[in-house]
Amino acid sequence: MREDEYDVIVIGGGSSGAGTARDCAMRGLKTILLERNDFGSGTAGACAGMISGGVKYLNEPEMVAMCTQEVVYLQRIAKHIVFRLPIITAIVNEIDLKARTSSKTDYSQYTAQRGASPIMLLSTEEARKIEPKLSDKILLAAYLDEMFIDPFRLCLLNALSAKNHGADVRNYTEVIDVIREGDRVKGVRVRDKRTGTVEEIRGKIVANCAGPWVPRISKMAGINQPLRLNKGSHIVFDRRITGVGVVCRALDGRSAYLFPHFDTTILGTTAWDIFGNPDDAETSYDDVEYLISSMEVAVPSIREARIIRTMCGVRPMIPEWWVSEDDATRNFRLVDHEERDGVSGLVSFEGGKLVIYRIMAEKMTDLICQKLGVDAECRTHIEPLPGAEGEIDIERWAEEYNMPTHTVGRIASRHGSNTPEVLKLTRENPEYRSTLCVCESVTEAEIRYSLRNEFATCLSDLRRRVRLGMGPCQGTFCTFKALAVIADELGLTPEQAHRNAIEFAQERWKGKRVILRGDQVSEEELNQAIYAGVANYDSLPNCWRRD
Amino acid sequence: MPEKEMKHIEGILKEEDITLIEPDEEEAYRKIEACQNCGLCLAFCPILEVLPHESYSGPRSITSELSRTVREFWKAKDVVYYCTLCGRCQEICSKNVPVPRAVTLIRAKLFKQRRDLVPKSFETMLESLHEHGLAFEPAAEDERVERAKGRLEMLGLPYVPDRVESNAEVLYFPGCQADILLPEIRESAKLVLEKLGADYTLLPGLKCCGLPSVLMGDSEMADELEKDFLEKVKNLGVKTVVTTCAGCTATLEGIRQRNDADFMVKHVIEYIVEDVGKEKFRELFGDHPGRVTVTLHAPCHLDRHVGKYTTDYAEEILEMLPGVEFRRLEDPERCCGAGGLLNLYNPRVSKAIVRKEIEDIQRSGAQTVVTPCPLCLVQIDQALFKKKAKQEALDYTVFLAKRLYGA
Amino acid sequence: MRADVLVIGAGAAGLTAARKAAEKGLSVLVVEKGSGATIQSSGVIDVVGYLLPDCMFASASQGVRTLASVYRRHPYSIIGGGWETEPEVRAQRSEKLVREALRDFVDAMRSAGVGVLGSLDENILVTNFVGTFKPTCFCLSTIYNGNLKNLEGSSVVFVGVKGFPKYDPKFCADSFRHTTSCLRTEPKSVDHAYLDIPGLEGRSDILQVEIARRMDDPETLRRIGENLKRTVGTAEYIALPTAGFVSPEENIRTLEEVTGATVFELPSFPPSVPGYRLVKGLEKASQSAGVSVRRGYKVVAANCDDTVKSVRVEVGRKTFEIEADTFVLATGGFLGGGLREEGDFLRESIFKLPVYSGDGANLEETYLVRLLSQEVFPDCGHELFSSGIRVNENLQPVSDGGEPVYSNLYAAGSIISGYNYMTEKSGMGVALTTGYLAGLNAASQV
Repeated sequence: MREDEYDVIVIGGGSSGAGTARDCAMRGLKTILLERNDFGSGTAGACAGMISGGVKYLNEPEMVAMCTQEVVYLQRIAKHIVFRLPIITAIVNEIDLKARTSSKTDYSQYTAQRGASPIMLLSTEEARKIEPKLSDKILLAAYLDEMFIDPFRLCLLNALSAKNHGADVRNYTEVIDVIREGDRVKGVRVRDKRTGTVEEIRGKIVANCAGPWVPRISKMAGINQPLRLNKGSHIVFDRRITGVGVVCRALDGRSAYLFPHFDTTILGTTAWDIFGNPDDAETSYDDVEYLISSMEVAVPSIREARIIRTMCGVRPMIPEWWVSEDDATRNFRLVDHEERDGVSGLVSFEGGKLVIYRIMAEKMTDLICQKLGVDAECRTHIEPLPGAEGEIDIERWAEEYNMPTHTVGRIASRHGSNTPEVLKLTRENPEYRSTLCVCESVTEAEIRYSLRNEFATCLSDLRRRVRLGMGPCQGTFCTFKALAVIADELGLTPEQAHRNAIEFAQERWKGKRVILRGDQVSEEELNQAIYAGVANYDSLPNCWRRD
Repeated sequence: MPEKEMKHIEGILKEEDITLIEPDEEEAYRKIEACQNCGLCLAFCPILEVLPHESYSGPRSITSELSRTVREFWKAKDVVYYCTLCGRCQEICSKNVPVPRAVTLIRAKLFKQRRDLVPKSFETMLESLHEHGLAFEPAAEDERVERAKGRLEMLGLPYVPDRVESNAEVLYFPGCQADILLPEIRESAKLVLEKLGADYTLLPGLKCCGLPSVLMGDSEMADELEKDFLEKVKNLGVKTVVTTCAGCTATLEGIRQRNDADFMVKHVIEYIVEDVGKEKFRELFGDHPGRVTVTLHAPCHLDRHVGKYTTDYAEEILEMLPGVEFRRLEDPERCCGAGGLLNLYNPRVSKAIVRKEIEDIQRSGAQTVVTPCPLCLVQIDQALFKKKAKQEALDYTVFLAKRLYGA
Repeated sequence: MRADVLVIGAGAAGLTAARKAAEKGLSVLVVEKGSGATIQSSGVIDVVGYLLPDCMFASASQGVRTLASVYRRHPYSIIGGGWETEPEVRAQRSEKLVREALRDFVDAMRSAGVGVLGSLDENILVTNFVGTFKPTCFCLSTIYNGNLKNLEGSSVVFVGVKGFPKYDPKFCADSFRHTTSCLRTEPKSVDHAYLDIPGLEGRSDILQVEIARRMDDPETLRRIGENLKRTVGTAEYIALPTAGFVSPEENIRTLEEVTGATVFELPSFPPSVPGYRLVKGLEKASQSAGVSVRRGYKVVAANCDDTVKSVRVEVGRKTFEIEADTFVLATGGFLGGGLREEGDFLRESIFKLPVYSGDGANLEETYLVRLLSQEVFPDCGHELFSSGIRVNENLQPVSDGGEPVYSNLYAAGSIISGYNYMTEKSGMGVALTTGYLAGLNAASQV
């Protein structure tokens, strides 16, 4: 046995990967977590954050039971990033009505378990009392509660927890090959995207938790593992539009949902099977129109609301064909490649949902422990994630650290009971109290804290960690302010910092381009005027290349 | 659905700090969401001239951050009461984002979500509104008349009794300040209307226009006062409601627009220019013994919330009065700092804001500063007094009355 | 309400057009709903910097001549003559006009108390808050001395204030060092320093205007000068985040006396103090010529038959018509509100004029997304930002056939298609030149 050999190499920093790394580390396995980009930058980060008790899967009762139990656990271990949202399902016509009422009673046995309200039926008038923006033309409505979570923070906190329990955690580290000797997988070869260096990492078990990229990794191990890859897009609006969530039947018979999410609103979603590279998945103009036209029926004013970006992710579904995406299972499959393909040392996931990430990780860790002959119990459902350990007292902290309540409130929604650790930085450096991102109330203190403690390496990472640039201006006014801070904390050269800014702008642009309308167009003029017109970013790269 | 189920849902909404966004707020939100986060407004905000930006995040943060989080409106408590609603931000903004509207929206939600966080300094006014429908404690009728006569005597103006007619064309709406605190304004309005030969009436029992309630976030009270006003005016059947207060004008005009009412709301300045005509008004002035140099402070509620043309009107009238020399301030539309209830919430900041205005007045060479808003008047008057300045402040309508009656 | 000439928009283009018309003795009214792009400008006056991102013009005059002869749809070319005009002739005429317009601008600003320095015959390079560079032509005099040619071979200190998030002098200095090394115009030394400003110690969230206001106070400025001298030592050039609001040139002189260095103000990101001073200067100059500038006046519609009869304005709650003999449309691009997206298409806001891409394609039925590149800062800019209305050589908006839509309507500024001010670095030059010409033409028609 080699000294530097890991017990388990986890590939993929999404919810299932980070969750698995955490469980493995907590059970004492020597673990390394490898993510080719940043935590939550894949499928987990492109969803609406709903951790549903399973109301959609009523034809899979074991699924519902599992989802409900997981929601209970998440409310405990991630209480600071979980929030409840009342949802009104608007029934827009007769067909709709028939499909929904039959499920009412089945779900109620589960809602009580996780402390949610039972499903209740409301008249149009009652529904509009709760949500005045609903159209007066809906027939009937149903009320239910669901829980939501911040998916970026969830992935990050699992990775952080893994590190706190002794795991090595590396983002921007891409697996470029799987080392296979005969029928045994021995490890992986990785490239550090920041430095370009390539190295070998040896491990007893490789856990392939790469979501849509699971087939790509399997292929490196010489295994053919097809998945059903299905692309889904969302639209993000600049503020809370409705007070509660609204679900309605979409134009093509599927479901459309409008969910308030922190201080934005998310409208989703589409489902297109894709056969090419999941990295190329994009939101199209038609996706946007489809979503708006669908939700317009229930919330007529949605068309006039300001859209700030779109997001697109790929679902790594179990390859079940000849059924529509809606009807396909959302359950997960834990694959032991020794059993299935005769290749030992490799396990992987197919399918799954954000809400069951923890039980997925538990099952995978159980399997890994079994293979390694390790006897340790899972505690991931008991031990809180960082920030969920203690209580939150925004008003007291605001007074203690002399900061505005609204700013402390936003920090607390991201860092929970760890908020004082962030605020502490302002004692020695009062200038760190400066707000750099006005839209999301992101202070210099929070940015520095994240760069120091949360594996953040660039502006895009900071967006996922602390919501920098997530507001209506989409980074126009915070980018030039954040440059000095990241250069200082990360020791970047000026050119690296400016390239960072351009990369960040390019990332933001991907989500903006297809929905540039109304006030967002003039925001873009400002963005271009500042970064091209004054800072000259359109021309600078030519200057740098000369050297 | 059964009553108890509805109560259960409402309980959950309360628990989750979810306050509803009403359809009539929709229009406001459409305009507020245009904010580009450019920060231009911050250079024009009067509060930021005296308060450090770290203590008041300003109009930009109100629109691009605080107005977006319905759930957490209460967390805006440190910011949202500093705004005087002057509207300078909205005026310079490339999208004319209605920041004052965002402020009243947030205050209204805050009032519902966390009544305990509404500033204690508002309580007296709140109670008075709930008890009397007026912003201040009213006095008994005979006491009121005595005080009014006393003030008029000091100003050298005659007293005319209230005219109460049932078929008049015009209703004079004094507002709480003129009714209770500054009776000379109310009396002067009557004197001016008499001279104009206007077919006007007063109406006992008029309540507050509702602006203080809106500013406190007490939307229930504001709605009640709105209903009361509409009903009273409907019963009277007047064509025009004339006011002497900038705040009342803007607020009653808002009520008129929302309800598509068929009467007009005008400040007496607008009434003079539009209904009477400047030439006819000029003819009413005989020779006046005194020559006076005046300057004008344009109240935010008229200049920005009703329209800049009101400042033009106010200046045009002053310019044509015999014996009156009009000097323009460098910045006549500067906010006096009293609005938005800032004078209650933080009197120190409120008084600091008016300082620049006082310097401007002192530099102008005018003896008297006139302003068509009782709130601005008190603020400027007190500040001039404190500074032992030579200039005096007068309400615009009182000034007109004095010139008309040779006082 | 009526005027001889009504100008819609009080940005660089509008105020210039108004001033030129008023100088002919006409009654000129400018209406402005709020603000546009000019007030957010950095304080430098671009005329033209680039043909393409890696092809910088050594002088604006060279740039204007080149664009005029090569790109017939560019405003710099259109002003040189109609479609059939020979490129050579066009280039000559355009250059002459640009020279006249900029000369006129510099003179007007000077009499309004705002110094402007620069030359059409030599572009200069300037830096900014993040230490990169760009070519420009003229600058507010408080900014001009910080051009890279001056700084080459000299000792420079970037001075900032702790707690001012918009500008960190350390990063700016590091970045500037790198920039000048790429350009091979290195200063002798580049340093940074944090300055104590009375009243701002221990602060956070400092705004540029808060610094500017303190610099305008003589006593505070004196103390700033002392602090500056102590902090900076013997540098030859000192870069400051702002020179002040009310008396920037005087403030700079005072600081130069105290420190013995050349002190300059950095071109600014929005919200920009120099940008505000630029607009104030233009406004003052136009008011001196007799222009009446009305703020809070929003034009919502136009009343036309084959000419423009009047426009409808909203002033608060009142709506009324303003009549005029001629009209100048200087409402800007998307920021100013002259152009907007409606139903996914590009539209001109007031007169419903036809809109075109920079290549002359009619955009009536073109989805906006088609005018946007995949790259966020593409080489020639997004087609959307070089789209707008088309004008003839008299700066009258035209339609497909090239005929003026209304005989008494003129246009100036970024509402005009055919150029991209962000990539070319040509915003102010086009605004001032087209404003100049539109104003003269509108006046001559009265």
